[in-house]
Amino acid sequence: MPRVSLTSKEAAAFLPEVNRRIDHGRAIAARAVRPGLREVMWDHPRLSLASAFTAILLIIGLTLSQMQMWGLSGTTGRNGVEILSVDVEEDASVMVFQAPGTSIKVIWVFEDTST
Amino acid sequence: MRSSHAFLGRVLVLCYLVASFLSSVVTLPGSAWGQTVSLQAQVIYAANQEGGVDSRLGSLAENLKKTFRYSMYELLDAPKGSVALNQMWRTALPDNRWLEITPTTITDGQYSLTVRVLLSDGKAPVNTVVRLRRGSTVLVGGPSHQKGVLIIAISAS
Repeated sequence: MPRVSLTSKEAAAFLPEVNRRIDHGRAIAARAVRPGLREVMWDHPRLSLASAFTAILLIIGLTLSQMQMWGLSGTTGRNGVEILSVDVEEDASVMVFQAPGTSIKVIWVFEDTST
Repeated sequence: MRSSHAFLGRVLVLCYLVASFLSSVVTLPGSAWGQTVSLQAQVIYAANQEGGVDSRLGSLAENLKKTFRYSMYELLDAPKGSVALNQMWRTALPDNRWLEITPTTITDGQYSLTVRVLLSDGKAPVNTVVRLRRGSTVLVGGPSHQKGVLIIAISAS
């Protein structure tokens, strides 16, 4: 066995360095192991499928809301027009009608021709 | 290890639930928040005289022919504009008349509009509120013009 000789300075630094490395190893061992995203997904296939399904639903919902498709079966009629109110002045007359076979509602104003 | 996965899973599910709720709250009625309404009017002169049907009327021409008994339909003007809710959009009509449209609400893709046709003396013989689905058209007709009448086709989007 070869003899090793240390200077007093090296001998003084030897033990603290050993302790520092031991403490460093403990700190690494104590650190929690974080699972990777891929590992989480493969370990939870139902969660992954549910996530994908939810994402698809959100995309469809966003698209439909931007296209304003939610109100297709709303209160307006088949032609998409509803006359909510018609206020007429004293000397005016109005007729609201929709011709058979057409999809357009008409508000017809009869002007007072007496003046 | 399993407990940390389960915790992460719960957090992910919670995040999706919150995101779903927020998206439904923000996007469904969102169309009415701070948006403008695009309005289009087609001012049509209809009369029993020569001239036929203006080709610029497009698909509206067929509905006009089915609805009215005029022989001539001419597109005089097709003003367009965008206004915010409760803001009035005004456009000039022939014979010193005015068309005023005020969008009041947007609900489920349906636009509620207050429509007024003002005469040259400032009177509005008719003040009507209509609810239009996006792309639908309502006709306001009757004001006399030259030898016929004016028909105004109004749509919103």
